[in-house]
Amino acid sequence: MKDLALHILDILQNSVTAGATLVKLQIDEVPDKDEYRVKFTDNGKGMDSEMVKNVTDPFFTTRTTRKVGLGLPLLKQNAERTGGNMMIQSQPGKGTEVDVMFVYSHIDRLPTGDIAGTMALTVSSYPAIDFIYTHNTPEGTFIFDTIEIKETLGDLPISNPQVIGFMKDLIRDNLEEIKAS
Amino acid sequence: MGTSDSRLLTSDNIILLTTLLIEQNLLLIIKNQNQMTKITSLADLRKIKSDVEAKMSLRERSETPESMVQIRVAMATCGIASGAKIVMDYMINELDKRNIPAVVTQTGCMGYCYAEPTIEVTRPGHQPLVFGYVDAKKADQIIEKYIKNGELLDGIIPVNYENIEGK
Repeated sequence: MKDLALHILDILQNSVTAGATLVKLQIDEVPDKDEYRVKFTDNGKGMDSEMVKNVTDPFFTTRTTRKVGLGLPLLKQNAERTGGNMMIQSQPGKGTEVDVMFVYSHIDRLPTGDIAGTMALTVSSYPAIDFIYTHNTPEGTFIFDTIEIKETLGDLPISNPQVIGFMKDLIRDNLEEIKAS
Repeated sequence: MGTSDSRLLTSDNIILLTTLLIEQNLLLIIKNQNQMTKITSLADLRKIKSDVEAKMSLRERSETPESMVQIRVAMATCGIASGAKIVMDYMINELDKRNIPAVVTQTGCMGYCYAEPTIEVTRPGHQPLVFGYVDAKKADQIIEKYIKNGELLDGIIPVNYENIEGK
């Protein structure tokens, strides 16, 4: 993956496949602690401890179309490359939490990429799922909440191209405002 | 002598120069003010909603996904790593620009990782077709030839299946 936004696009799909109805993404930029944290939380079907152990093995996957599953292993590798780590907690029937830490100042920390595009494309593809994306920087906090967006939209579908464009602008502008890296 | 030389700093020229400079500064100030105020918010969404709804005809409003072109972009790890996001962005923007009612969504891996990015295109009333090795250029051809006119083109993955989700 070329940037963090592409990883996020990929990992959010796991929550979708797990049947989640609420998916949370939280990014915390803490330069003081030299940390860049990305946390995914969903209320999907969860995994047992055996499966949690296996998901970062590239030769483990639940899908039947192919024999490898690289989403989480690649993200873990990129986190560890900076001296960071990835932690997964999950409970069957409750949901899953994936917590990834990158060392903020490390030269191998991936460029952030187009998170606005990632969110807009994911959110518009799964209108039945709600997404809450929180981004914290020392400059402030931005929260993108599809529950709020859908209320405003009424019966206009979230997959409308104008709406997708709006969501991209909304996220991009606000991330700039809180000086997200 | 020299009165017609435009390089001379006559009072007229100085006035012209000063006006130009003032105008430029004014422009800069206006530009900065625009940047200050322009932060997209939910209020913009309300405006978009009323704009879009005003433009929609009654027929379009009742349009079901089945009566529109449906495009699914394979967006698993393999697809994303090969550039599926660019293709999806392109499809959404271009179909809108070219006034083709369509729904573009993501789907999982179809098992054709070697041919990523792959997309599944369903024209209303037709069987879905899967195209492989799609980039912006290929996507343009798919819109112009297949979606608009039903012409087939290179890069179709020949396989018998109902649709991706059934796999």
